[in-house]
Amino acid sequence: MSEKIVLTCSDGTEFVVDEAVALQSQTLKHMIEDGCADNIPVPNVTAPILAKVIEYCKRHVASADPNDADLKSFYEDFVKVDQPTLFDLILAANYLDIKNLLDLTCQTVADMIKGKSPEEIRTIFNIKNDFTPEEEEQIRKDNAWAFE
Amino acid sequence: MADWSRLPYDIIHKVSTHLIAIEDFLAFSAVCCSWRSVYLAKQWHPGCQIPLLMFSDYENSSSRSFFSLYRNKVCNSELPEARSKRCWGSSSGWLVTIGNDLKIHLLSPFTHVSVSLPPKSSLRVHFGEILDWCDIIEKAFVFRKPCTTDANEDDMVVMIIYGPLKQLAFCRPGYSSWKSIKTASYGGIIDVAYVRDQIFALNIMGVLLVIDIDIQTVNNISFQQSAMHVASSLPHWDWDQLFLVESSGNLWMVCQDRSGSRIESVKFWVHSFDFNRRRWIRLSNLGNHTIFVGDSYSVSISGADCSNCKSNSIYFVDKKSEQRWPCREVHVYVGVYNMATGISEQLSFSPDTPISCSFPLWVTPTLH
Repeated sequence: MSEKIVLTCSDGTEFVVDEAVALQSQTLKHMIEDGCADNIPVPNVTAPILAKVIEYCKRHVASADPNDADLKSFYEDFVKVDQPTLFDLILAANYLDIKNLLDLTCQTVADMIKGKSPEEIRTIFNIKNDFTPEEEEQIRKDNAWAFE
Repeated sequence: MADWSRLPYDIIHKVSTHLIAIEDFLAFSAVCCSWRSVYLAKQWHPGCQIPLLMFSDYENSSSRSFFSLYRNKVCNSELPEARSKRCWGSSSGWLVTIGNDLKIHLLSPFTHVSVSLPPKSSLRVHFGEILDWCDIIEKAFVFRKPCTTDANEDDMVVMIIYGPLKQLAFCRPGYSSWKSIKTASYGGIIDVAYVRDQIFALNIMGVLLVIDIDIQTVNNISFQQSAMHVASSLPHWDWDQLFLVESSGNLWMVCQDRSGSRIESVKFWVHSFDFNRRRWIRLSNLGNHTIFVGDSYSVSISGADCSNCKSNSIYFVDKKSEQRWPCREVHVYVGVYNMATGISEQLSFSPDTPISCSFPLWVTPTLH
């Protein structure tokens, strides 16, 4: 019978998951191996994000075959989220050290960047241009051929 | 509120590893200071890049236009070092340039680094008086053998086909003179390629030669079947239209058939050299490779299938030149040949019709 692990997120909500699901995260894996398997705090991650991460890990435990067409469409739908959620998923995948999830979310960001100019990218991600005028000039001289 | 500029470096770096085209990476690196850190730390390594097409220069202009197949756009870049010079591209990203002062240089067009090479005066050109300065060198190549221990110690060899007799000479940066290679007994050389650490040359008789520059030997390796034998069985073949290409460790020969005057009638045949049987074998399919051929150098890249750059295709630059003293007007068009359908079509963008001795050439973009 599989062990159950309890994860407590930032606002105190508890999630009960199978051990196999929790082991998808290298961070949790080390904690479980170190013996703190009763109740693991995950203070950096909010409830809705942790729920999504668990959904990902559960699906991955079921089948991680890259040729699985169902898995591909699961991935595509999984990242159809708003930007703040994508941002939080990246940070959570990084903190929990879930390599495949981090790859998937970073690939999604890269796909949003491809073919765009710096100005368009800033608009998409609501990023402020914080270069000094001198830096801007240097960038324009060195690299502007690529995006102007 | 998600502040994307405040992502930790590791994540910014990870996102950059999912960017393939240099142009995407450079746009990404121009968004904000934190996103530029990967570029500044030189921690992004380009894979196979789709080459850009660099146009001839206009008179009175120090900038050059580049056509990016990836973005389907023409862009400009200041390149005063190439002004009024004839250039040749290479897959290492370096250009070889010669000016009317007969000085020869290596130029990196995107980083503006320039390296002097030995002057033309160190080349003995038979019957050289009948040539213009821009015709002395027929083709130039830069071969780069990476050094496993230190990237600054890469072995770079510059090789040229020069003179009316189409001889070969080479040098390395730092040499005081060009060294000629004795291929006289084999006649003129058409094209050169660097495959599996060896230099191969095709001569006008269709013989494939392997050249060792360090021990100065030239050997015929295709005595059983010459390329001319292969190529002459193709309709309307001629010298201008044979290219040697290195492709993922293989040596390919691309033959272009320019029988009609319309771009749609241009056709290509590709053969691969079987080193064991010393024969050219016809290829009907390039797999996931794309070949770029032109006046300057030919290159094959793999895995570039995207909306603007198709695999199993050959992109070519062709020209109709009308020689009118003192200038040569060159009308250029760029087309793509689909190996599967056997049909060529013209790419639609607006190239210039420049007046210069410098033909458009494929240039591989580089970062540093």
